[in-house]
Amino acid sequence: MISCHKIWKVYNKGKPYEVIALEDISLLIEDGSSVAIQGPSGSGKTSLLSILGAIDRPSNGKVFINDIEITSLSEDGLTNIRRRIGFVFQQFNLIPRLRAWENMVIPLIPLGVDEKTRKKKAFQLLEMVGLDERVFHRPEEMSGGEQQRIAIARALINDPLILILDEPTSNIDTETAETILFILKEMRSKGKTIIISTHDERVTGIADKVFMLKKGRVIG
Amino acid sequence: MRHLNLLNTALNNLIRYPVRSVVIVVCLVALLLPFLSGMAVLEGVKADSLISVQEGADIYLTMDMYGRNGVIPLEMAELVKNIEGVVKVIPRAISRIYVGDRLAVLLGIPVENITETISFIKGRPPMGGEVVIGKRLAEDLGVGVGKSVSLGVRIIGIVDGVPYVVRREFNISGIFDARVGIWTSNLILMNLQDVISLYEMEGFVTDMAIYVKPGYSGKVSEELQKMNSYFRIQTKELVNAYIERGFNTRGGIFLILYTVAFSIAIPAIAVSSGLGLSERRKEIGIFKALGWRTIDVIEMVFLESIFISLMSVPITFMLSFLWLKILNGVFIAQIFIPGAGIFPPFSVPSLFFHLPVIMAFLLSLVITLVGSISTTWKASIVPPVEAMR
Repeated sequence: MISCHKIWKVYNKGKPYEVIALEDISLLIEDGSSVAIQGPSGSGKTSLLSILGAIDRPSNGKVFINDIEITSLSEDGLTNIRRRIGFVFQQFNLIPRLRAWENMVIPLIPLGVDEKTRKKKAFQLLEMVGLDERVFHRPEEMSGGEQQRIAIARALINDPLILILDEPTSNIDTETAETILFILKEMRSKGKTIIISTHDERVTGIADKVFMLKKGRVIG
Repeated sequence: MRHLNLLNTALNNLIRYPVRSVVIVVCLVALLLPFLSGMAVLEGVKADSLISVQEGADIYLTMDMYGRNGVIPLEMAELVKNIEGVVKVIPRAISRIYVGDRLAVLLGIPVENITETISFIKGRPPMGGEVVIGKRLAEDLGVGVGKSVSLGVRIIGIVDGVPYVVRREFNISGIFDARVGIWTSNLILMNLQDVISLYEMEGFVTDMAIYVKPGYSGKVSEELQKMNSYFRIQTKELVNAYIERGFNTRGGIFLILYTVAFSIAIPAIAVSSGLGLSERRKEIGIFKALGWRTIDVIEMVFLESIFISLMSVPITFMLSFLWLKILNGVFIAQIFIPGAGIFPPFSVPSLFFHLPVIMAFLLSLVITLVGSISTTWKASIVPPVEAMR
């Protein structure tokens, strides 16, 4: 279960150009459920997902994942949490100089997984996302939709309990969006907790719960 | 397996960022090359000196004059010869001398000893009023056997602010091979009696080279001291100790100066190793976001630094070897061998020991670590979102 209590995120605090990205957010996400976070640009969706994904800290408030208060954890403590979460960034965040399969196995390197197993896992997931012909391609040699699928495959490589996706269907073609929706349904059927920020009605359609964000506040 | 994975990743990173890797290696090689070459010349000269001493006399005898080495009466040679264990005594007169503008060493020894000291290329040993000089010196001066050379013997005053040097003309009777050693390149040999006359020191020599039977060095030294308390006795062991101490001090000073230069160079390397820093910072952010711990990132960067150092040191070693053995230590030899000039007229001695190579490796490791660890650390301790931004 993921819960957050009175979360605030303020950028450039105390400075003239201070930005309040999140304001007093509290929400509860049950294990195995799918949650969509909707809202216009600049409403704080990415900030909220980053905090829930343990890759950023809130300015105030508490976040619990499976009863562990992650806001008070050290960097290494947060790493242990991150290892249970698959995160798909809005900008994909693939490393340009790495090939598709090499990008995918980054999470496995510090876990001591040998290269043979890493390759095997990567190839299986590439097949699942329909990119088995792109194994040795670099991000610049792939379309946005293909990069998105690589990013999703990377998020799944650790077999995480929680999957967080930041606008996974924006700026991609309909066919790729359909593939991603199919993968999300698959993950949902496997009992994974899925948190997605999106504008896409097709994505919200598979969610158990939808949170509406506006100007950093939950409005519905 | 985790360490092996990180090792693999570090190695791949160096290959994936060839420009950055090459720039860092080039910077390190540029910094380490003078260091390794300098240390090799220093060790070479030291070894050469020790060999010279080893092959030279067992005892050098002078007399105390104003607390320094002074001249010694020539007649003492006969008395010293009579000491038990003494095999041979060679009285010598040594001085610095000007040949044109070039400073050389003038050595006067009995003519019969000249032939056993050097190997002639041309000519014969010097008679009265004659000298023999090294091949390179003869080439530099444009002289040969049968020609004369003007030697500036000593300064006797200042005329119009310029030192007035007494000059004498000498015929060249022979040329000897002086390319092989640094000690003979500027050497001019003369008959002992001629040097004594030249300096108007009739009946005195600057020192005596005493050869003794094996194991007699200590006993002969004691006898010499008993003979005259003003004798200054330098045994082979003492000269060896002086050389060792002198060169070790010089090596130490060189090392300190180099460490200072290195510390100044660190910011430059830091800038070089920070090539593509924003790209690197973002990468670290991605690694952290995907479950890497700070220690994983640091270990990977540390291993990259080790690889960089492992690449830099052998390249430096090879270039240093070429510099000293093929280019004969051009430019660098003059720092360690006074009078060697930019293009040394002799074969520059050099010896590569493991310690300077290990030190070069450690220095390069320190530099690359200082240049990379702090930036990596800064990128690792912030939330991944910030590093990726």
